[in-house]
Amino acid sequence: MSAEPNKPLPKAGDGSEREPVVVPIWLIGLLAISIYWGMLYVNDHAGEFSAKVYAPYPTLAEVEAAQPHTSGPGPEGKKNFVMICSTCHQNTGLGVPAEGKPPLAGSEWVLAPLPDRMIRIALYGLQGPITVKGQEFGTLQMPAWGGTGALTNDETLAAVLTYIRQNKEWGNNASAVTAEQVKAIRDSLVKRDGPGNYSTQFTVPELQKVPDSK
Amino acid sequence: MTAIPLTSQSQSVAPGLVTAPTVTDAEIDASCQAPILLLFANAAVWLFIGSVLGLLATLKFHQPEILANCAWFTYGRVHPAQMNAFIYGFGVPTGLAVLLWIVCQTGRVRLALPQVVVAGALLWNAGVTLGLIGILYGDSTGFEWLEMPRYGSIPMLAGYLIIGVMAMLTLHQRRERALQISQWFLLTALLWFAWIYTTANFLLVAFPARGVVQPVIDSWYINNLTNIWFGFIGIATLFYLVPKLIDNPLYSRYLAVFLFWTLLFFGSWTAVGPGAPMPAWIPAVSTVGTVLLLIPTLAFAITLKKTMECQTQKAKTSLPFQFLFFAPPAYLLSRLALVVTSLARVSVVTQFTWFTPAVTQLFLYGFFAMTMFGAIYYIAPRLLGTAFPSPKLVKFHFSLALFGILLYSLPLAIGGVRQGYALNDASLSLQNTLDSWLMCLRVSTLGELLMVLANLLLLVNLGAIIYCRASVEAKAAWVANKIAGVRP
Amino acid sequence: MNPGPLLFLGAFFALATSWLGFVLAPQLQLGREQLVEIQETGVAYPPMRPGMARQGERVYRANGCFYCHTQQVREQLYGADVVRGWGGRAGKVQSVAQDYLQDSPVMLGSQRVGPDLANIGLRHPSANALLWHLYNPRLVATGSVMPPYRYLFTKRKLKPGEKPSAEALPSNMPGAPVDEQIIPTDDARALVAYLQSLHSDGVLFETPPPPAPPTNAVATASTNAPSTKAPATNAPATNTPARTPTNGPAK
Repeated sequence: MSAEPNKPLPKAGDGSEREPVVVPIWLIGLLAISIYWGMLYVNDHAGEFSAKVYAPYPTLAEVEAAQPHTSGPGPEGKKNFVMICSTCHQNTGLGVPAEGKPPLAGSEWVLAPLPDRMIRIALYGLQGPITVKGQEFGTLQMPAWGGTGALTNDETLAAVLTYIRQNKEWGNNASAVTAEQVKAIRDSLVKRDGPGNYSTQFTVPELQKVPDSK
Repeated sequence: MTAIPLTSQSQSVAPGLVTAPTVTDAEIDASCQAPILLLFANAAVWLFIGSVLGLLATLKFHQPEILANCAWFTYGRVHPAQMNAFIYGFGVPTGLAVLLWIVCQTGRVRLALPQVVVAGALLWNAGVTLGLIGILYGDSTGFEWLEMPRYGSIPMLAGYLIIGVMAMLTLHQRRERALQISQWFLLTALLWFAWIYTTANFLLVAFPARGVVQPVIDSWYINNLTNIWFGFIGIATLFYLVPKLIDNPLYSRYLAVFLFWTLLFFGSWTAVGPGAPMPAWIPAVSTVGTVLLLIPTLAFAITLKKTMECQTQKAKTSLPFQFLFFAPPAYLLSRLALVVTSLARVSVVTQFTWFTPAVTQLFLYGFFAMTMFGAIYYIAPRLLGTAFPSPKLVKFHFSLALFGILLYSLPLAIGGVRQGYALNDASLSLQNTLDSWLMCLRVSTLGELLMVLANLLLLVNLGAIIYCRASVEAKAAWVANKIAGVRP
Repeated sequence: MNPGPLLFLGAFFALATSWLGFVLAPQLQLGREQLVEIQETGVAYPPMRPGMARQGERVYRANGCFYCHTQQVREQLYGADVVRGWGGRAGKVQSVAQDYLQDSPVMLGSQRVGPDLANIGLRHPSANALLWHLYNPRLVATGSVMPPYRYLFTKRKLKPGEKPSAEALPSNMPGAPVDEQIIPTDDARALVAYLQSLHSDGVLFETPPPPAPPTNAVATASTNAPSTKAPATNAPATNTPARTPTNGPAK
């Protein structure tokens, strides 16, 4: 054996040097594309390299958002609900539809992703007609609570609304309402009737202009 | 074989070394003879034993009562015994033997301290024996491909380190200083096995990591062993022997270097499959590594195809070449199957089915073992100075091995896919899913039987050539004694 | 220029990144996870296995059960595990790292010749059923290819008139030998205890329940009587079950 097996041989006879053969360009191109694909794949599927993100969640934020909402309203929420709201809406949350008092359990007005409409109703009251869960409440009149008693306090109102939105016995499981959200809406509406005044009730057409989900 | 003295190359001999007279092939082979033949012989024995155990394991799916009352032969012990016998009894020793021989040949240097290498080989063998007995006894560690208990794995590691150090010493003493591409592959594999084996045993057996880190490390070890040890050694052997056999140089050194680096990176970045119970990044990164294995696989296929283009007539008469010819397609097919099944949409069907062992066996036996058979049939006659007494038996070995692996892995792969669909159909109870793959497994048992016979033939052939050589020497000695008047 | 050392360094670096990525990084990230307390029950998760179950883990390992049985539940989009009832968690059914903290070794398994066992403790509580299955799988599941583990039991011939001992398997299994009593060894009982302890049902931060579909149904779990004219819909609540506990992220 006279040839080094791993080095190119000159062509027999013609004395010319054989050209070194390089890597085929398409293979290098394929490598580049594959690496690019790999980076995209890792970006989409690696869950930010977090220890708590399992497929198919893409980010930690989504895992957090998917957590069941049981942060809880605290005792203030239930206490004030029973004191103030249950007279009409009942402790069961089923309301008294025959007397024009709509239910809160399973109500789409309660369970909307954003609580903005619900906060307005609680602050300024509601003038019907309104349709709740397919049932029409024509002569409904809900008084305003934004200026009354315990519910002038943003924290307390937030707790009551959270209690309503997260009441498991009624089958409600929506996000909590924060005092900041209540304050923000209260402040934004101060021009409606002046500070501390909550006399103009909301109507359904007005509420429908307010977004109830992102 | 006539010794062809090589003129010294443009690269100078290492400074400090006295320019010793060039070494002949015969001298190199004589220095390697004892350790390499010992490694080959041990490996052939373990290969046969392993395949018999494998046959027993498969037969249990035909008739679960076979040897069922003996704890030593329950499926859960025979199966790991088979895998460990193949990997550590056959795979690693033949890889080491071929590594030593190629290092000596390419470096144009005698093997350093052959007796020490023999001691290392014996130590390794002792470890394998103890380890296999331990597995059958029930001392399995619980980690796939690492089931050997400590009293087996520690002697094995010691033996490996001894042989490894001798290989490095031989390399250091080499006359031909330029490193050929085969040596790149071999040396990387040599060092990486020590690293992964030590890490895996340390973090799984000695000081076990907590929780799900264990299977991550186990999968990392398995994939690195497959891609880096078996892959690199097989590729190196092919890159060295094929050009020699067909008298045509390797297609492109640059492509081989490209293959080296891409396989090194992507082959080592594979571990678990999609859907595994670990944070999403571990399967994600692993999937990327596995899919990117496509690149080195293509590079390897192109290199060998172009090298062997139009040259195979010369090699048709060569016994080892038949084995080496089958190995690259097996590599290509098994790695492509691996790439495809690492994607989530496909692994929904193939994960946890017989498809994975089918592909693994195609790689281990169809690629690695076939390459090693070719190497054995090439090296052994050179070491012993005599040809194999029966070329027909060698051809028969090839036929049995070829049909064996095809009949084993293809039906099993089909069975695996059918099993996957059946498992995903929740209306089928688990017992009813058996119908989807049991027949395929029974067909693959025939393949397993052929492989057992093939491995037996390897033993027979090796035994025959060693006996032949021994008997030639004995006859020569007997004649010499007669002439000298010494009583026998 | 001698490429040897450069080659060595390059290869070393390449392989070291693999070691860093798959050995060191997971160990740093997951290797020190601690037990997590489930809020609702106050119990640490995953629970420590009782002594007999730990012995059973060794029997499971020694007999290689994990070559045919997996212990990992896959997410819905990766397979039919959920539909086959192999899950146990109220939230995200997929097995997560926390589930395996008390296992040593973690025997995830890689083949499903037999069913997944991650939650078998929630499916087969009867010790006798499991023992018979181990003694001869074909008595319990016809056509099964699972090997029998008779060496985990001792068989004793019953003398005429002798009653079987309290530890023997009940003889009312069709196909069971009538004139012999089959007594499980300690290993068999330990293995069964281990199997019964297998469940991965703790709802954790990383396993939130899937989002509830939007609904307008009325809750039926009301305790006060509504007014007589309330609409009489009785659709059950489809939101998350009341007993779902949750934890803050375990740091």
